[in-house]
Amino acid sequence: MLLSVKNINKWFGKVHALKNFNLDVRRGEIIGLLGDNGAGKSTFIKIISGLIQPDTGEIYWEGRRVKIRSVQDSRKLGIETVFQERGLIECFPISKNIFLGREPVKFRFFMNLGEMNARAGELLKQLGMSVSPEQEVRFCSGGEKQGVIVARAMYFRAKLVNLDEPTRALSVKGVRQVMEFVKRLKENNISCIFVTHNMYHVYPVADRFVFLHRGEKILEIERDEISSPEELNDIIVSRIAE
Amino acid sequence: MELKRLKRRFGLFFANQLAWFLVVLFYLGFAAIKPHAFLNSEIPVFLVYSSVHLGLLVLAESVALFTGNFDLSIESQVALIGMASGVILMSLPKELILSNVLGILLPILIGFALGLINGTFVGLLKFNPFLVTLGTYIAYRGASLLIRPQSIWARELPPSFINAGADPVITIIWFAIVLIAFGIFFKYTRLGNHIYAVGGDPETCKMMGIPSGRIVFIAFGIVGILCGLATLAYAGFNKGIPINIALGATFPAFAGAVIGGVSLSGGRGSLINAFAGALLVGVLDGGLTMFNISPDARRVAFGMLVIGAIAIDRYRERLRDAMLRPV
Repeated sequence: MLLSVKNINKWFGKVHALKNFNLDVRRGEIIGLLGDNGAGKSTFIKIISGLIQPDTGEIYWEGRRVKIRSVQDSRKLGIETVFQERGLIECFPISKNIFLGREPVKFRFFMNLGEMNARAGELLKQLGMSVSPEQEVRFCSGGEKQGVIVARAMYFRAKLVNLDEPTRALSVKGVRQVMEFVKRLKENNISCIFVTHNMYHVYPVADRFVFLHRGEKILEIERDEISSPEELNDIIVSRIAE
Repeated sequence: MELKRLKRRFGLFFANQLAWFLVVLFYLGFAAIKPHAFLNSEIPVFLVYSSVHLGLLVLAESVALFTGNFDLSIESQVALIGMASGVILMSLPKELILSNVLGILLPILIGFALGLINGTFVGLLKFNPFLVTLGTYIAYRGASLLIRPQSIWARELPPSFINAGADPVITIIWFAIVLIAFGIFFKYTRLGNHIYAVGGDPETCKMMGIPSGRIVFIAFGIVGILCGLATLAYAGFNKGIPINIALGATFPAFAGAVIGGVSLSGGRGSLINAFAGALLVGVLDGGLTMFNISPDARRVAFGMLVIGAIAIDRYRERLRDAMLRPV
């Protein structure tokens, strides 16, 4: 088991944002974390990426109990989180963004720009993206921006990639691109928690679906147990009604 | 297809080097009106030399702008560095080697310290850069007058302090070395890259484990070092430390940086091109002086230039975007 969280609770003032939340993530598994706005999805992602601390509960990483107090802590474990519309410097080229904060060096202080461009080029090609690594990120489409962050996660051998609403504000083409990226992650045995409120965006790629409603997990179901997004939808609707 | 790529590449080159093109354009324009004054070898050397002290302040302002902040206090830093090191150096025997070494080192060290004071407030304590550097703009100038309310002349100081910036050729040579060294630092080192990165998006930097506050702190220290070097250039140019040293230099320094392509919103710009901005200010100033334009009218011209800088910047950005946008 890569990640296990047990009995996580989080309050924001009087709001109980996450109630006794449990989740296991296996290696190379893609989890579709579903729910409406305010269901607690982002709260959970923020907890495992170190932005906020849970009030109660335990986190196990590769079987060991861990505390994740900062983004650096989570990154050290091998968790890479892609936040909505963040994590990239718009006026920087793609290659510098991929290596941001972890630039390969030569002669101790100097960035190895040649290596950065070469590696970035390989990664982009592997992801099926036809952009130059020297292109500034502000000229990238929404889907391409997600790709840059996925490339970053792949290069630094992340074990778990959290995508927080990656398909929000994306074109149909962008959504398809993000699904491709997620498949590449799986091929590389990287797990992924794919947060979205649109199940059609995650249905084709997820191995398991988790549905949050007002801070509570009301459904957890393997992909094999259902045959269509409509069926999943029906199950969710009946659970909410309960 | 090949032609189109060539056109894009040239367009991009033109946009990036716009300030250099403007320098040449203005110079040739002046030369066309008054050929005997402009078309000899002394004038260009003098114009470059007389742009060095402002040039160093343009570099200082550029570094502050890279981080997404700015620094209003640079001219007052020069005043305080000048008077503080001047008073200390006056008390030392002039011919001693140590005094002469200190003549160079002291301004740089004091500048570094003054810069770090700004950096502490802006970088580490996250105070608003406008108010912090407005405060130090007033306080540093006041402190310089407190230390010594009158000018210091060359004969009272160790020779090194004045000589460093007195001879045009020597000054231009060390300035070129400084320019190239800092240019390489910002373009090729990790720390330089992180200074740009913090200016580009401090939140993202924090997420990626780059300590934004500390980086801004260090960047303001670099601003101070450049102000220290500017003090040497000013002292050499003026053959002493005049009481109103560098007074009013902050805004031409801003204009120079913006004309040179340093982004006002941080994260982008090159020091070498920023110097072209300083040179443009120098050429304009020198040219107008040679045409006997009154100081008041020159002030009007400089005010216009500050506004013009924004127009130039906008034109360049539009051109740059058009050239960079993938087809």
